Amino acid sequence: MPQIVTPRAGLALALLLAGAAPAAAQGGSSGSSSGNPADNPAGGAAAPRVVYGDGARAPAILVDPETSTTPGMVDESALRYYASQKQTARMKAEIARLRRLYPGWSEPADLDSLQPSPPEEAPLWDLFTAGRFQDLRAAIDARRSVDPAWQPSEELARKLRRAEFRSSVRAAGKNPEAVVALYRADPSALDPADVESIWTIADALAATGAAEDAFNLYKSVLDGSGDAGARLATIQKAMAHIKMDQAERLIAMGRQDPGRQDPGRQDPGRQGAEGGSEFDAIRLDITRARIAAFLHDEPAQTPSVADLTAFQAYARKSGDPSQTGLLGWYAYKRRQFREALEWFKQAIARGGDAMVAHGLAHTLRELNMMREAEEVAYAWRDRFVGNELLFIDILERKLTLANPPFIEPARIERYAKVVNATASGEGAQGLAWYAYNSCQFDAALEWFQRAVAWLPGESTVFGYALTLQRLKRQRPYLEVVNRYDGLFPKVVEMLFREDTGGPPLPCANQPPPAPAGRGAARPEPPRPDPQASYGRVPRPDAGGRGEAVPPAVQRNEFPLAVPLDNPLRYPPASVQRALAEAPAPGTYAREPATQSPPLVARRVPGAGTMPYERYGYTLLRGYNGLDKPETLGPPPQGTLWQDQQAERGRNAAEGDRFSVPGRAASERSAANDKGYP
Amino acid sequence: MSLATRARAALLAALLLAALPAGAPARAQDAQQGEAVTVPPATAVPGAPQPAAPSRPASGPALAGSLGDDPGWRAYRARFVTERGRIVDTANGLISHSEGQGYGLLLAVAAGDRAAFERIWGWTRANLMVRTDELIAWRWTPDQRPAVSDMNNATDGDILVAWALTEAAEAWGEPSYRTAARRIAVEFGRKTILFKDPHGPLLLPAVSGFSARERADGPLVNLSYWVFPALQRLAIVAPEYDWAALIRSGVAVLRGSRFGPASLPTEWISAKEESLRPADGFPPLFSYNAVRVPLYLAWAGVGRPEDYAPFQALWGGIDRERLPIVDTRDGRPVEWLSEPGYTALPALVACARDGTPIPESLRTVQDNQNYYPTTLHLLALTAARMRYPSCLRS
Repeated sequence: MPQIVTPRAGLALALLLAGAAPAAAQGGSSGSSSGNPADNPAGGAAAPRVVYGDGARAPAILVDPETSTTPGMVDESALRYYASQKQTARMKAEIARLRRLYPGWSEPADLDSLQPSPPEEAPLWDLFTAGRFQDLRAAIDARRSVDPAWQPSEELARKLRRAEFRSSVRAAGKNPEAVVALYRADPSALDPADVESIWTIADALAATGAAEDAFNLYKSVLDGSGDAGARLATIQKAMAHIKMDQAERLIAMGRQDPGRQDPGRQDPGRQGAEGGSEFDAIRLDITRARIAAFLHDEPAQTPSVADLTAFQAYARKSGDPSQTGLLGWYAYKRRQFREALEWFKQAIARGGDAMVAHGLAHTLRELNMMREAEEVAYAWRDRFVGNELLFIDILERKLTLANPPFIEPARIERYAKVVNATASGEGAQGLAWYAYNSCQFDAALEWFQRAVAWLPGESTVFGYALTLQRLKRQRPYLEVVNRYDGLFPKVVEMLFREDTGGPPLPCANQPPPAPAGRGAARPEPPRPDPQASYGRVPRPDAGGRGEAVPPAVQRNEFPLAVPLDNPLRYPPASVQRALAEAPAPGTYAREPATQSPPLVARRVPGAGTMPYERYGYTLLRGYNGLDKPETLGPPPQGTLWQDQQAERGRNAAEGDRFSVPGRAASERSAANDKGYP
Repeated sequence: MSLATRARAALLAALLLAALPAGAPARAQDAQQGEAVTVPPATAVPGAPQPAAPSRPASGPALAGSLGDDPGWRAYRARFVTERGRIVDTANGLISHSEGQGYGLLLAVAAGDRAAFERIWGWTRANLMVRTDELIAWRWTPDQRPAVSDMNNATDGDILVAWALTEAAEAWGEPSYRTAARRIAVEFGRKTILFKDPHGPLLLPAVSGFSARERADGPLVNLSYWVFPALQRLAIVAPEYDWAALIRSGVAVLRGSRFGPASLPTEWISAKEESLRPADGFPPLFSYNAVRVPLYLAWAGVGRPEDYAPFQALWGGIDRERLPIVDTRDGRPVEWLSEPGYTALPALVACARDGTPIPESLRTVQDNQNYYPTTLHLLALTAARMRYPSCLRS
């Protein structure tokens, strides 16, 4: 709901209500008739307050409190003053005035029982009714300095204390910690009739983690206030600030009113649950909150079919992309991808943002419309970083297939640009594997160098070493293998293979893609099988600091003393110039002299077993004394990762899902000795 | 503190961001049998009906440039940052770790030093991002084979690096920093945060070794891994997580960890039971780790006065030249941190709570100190410049 980015919860609520109003007006099927603007005694069809049904008792939530000159509630101070003074005529005039101002309002029942305050307090009451609390406090102090025995009447003192409390709560409104501190310091200063302050405090309690206290305050409004508008707004406040399962408990407190039931509505399920509830007027908001709770994996009631249908109709009609988008995510999470696609498409068509595009791209991916997903993610990559990553990850999957398909050169070119701009190790190794598996070894080498600079995981380093080996660059090959001795078993394993250089690649029988430039001038040889041809992988742009070609060394030099830090760097274009010049002496620390490392590797927790251990060779103890091979454990209990893995296990049979591209490739090689990615 | 992350509009569709595992496809290759994840994290939510205070995560005082052209940074760089970008822990066998790389990156952003930032980040990724996921191996030793000495991560290191990359991306508009920040943040979010713990979201100190399954007293937490000012900013790159809840739970863990007569947290805390207690097998000390807790609180402006009180009481005594390491069982010092940089921490807390000006002697960084006290000193000065500039006037 991107529109709800207003600074004040109150205003945001008003917007929410405004959003709900049209749906309520749709007719008998969606909302109670009293939610219809035309039926509202307040009249103004444009005013959001119409959704309150039968009154305007709580105007505070309908206006921005900062700009409003009206206090939150109907100000009955003057009325109560006249009543206590038994000034009946003035009292009646005030009642009439208030009725005119607030059509749903009726006078309190306790007017007769109010005690008259001492006549000398009249000027003080004037200050009170004028809202001049500081002046009133000063006047009381002044009086007491003259006459220490004097006390204001209990009524005035209590009202002043509550009024002061109320204005300090309001002043602290933006700072939940401060609001909570005020409340905790003196809970009794909160007027149980001061619904607006109750909301402010409850919201602040919820924001500071005291959800149960917040719940109790919201509940106190439902227990104590008969005002329909205040009750509805309380539910909305609660849904916005506390967990939905707590809010559900408040919703369940809704008064059942058979008279409110719409005869046109035939929904036994809903009526059975809470049919005819006073809260039907905000049914859409409740449904929306239940959907959101579902998306958060938070407990809440499942929206009934009728409620969902009503919400869908409202979303469709309003065209608001935040609402159709929400339905898109709702369908997505229930794995109804066709439906999700429809909602996301609607949302995009009506101005949905990069997040909606993100949902659309994921949905297309789930529907195996990879090409479309790639385009959507690419088009929206600048406006949300998640789309950029999605674009990289979607095509990476294709690139890392062991027998890669033909990919249009322009598409690879575009991908390479994004990979360079984002310095993506994932993308770089994708391009590298594609180049490798299509026998474009020089391009493969350069992309692997980037991948190893940016994200030197085991399979990337493995691919790099494999390419070096294939290109017969013996010295750097051995350097890489030695550098990762003790860390990457799969890389060290290369030294122990019979078939150095790897098995024949499918591309070996194909003519390699024409190199840039010359390709155009020379007629291409006919392709024996168009299925097996590949797109040319461009070389990455210059600008990094790669390796110079070192002298060749003898084979089988292992272990070999090599520098153990990885020298590869490919900084982003924006800082290449700054890095090109050698820094002035003294700018940086000198690498401290350390003794040269032993040639025997030591144990690294998490690295697993080294291949030469099967011949009886051992490793030095790890830094923590570890002397047995140890792999990293399973996902920690309680993490999302654990949930995701479990979920994946359950859905494993679902065929072509988005899976981890590199894994498919590299695990195949691990399982099958003969195959390389 | 920002309470808004979870309700933010952007969340509308953040759902499923993590569907592509944070982790990146290509990398989740080995140990874990792959992870085609289409399940959104529980917290990835369209926050539709939640109009809570929607403060933009990008608001608030900016880290970038806050240190200006500080001679303290230049001295730091010349002493601890190699030309290749390695941060050297001088008191600790000249090793490097993800935490140090993270601090180096933060200070480089604060000093506006793009070249140094890129050198540090370039070294970090080239040497420590050797795992099968997007997290950072935490420990690197220059004279061992291999130099990486543990495949495990350290969650505070990941947080610091992701935060620094986020600030750098915001300040300099460099897209590669933004994508890297997101990859890391999403990954530690799903691998090390226990969102549904009864204490509120808990931060595992690492992917391996601290969970309920791995330890009889697990899950274990380390309060100083709650880098509060970072958690206030990570919604910029990973809006799907409820960072505000993580901040709240950190404060709650602090309130539940007032151990012994001095009411101080230990470095390692068992969160197995409802009531927190010092972890088994670790000395029950308030020590090197935990001295950072008030630093991060003050830096983020998080917490109530009483949350700072035990630290103020501990550091407000006569001995202002050094910081005690406290045995929480009896509240007595067992050792002292005597390098002067450490005393910037009490100075920052006094500034944050009482507006006490930072003493003149602490406004510049003294030479000849080790990596850790110098780092803490510069971090405290950065925090003061960002959030309490009046403590540095006059």
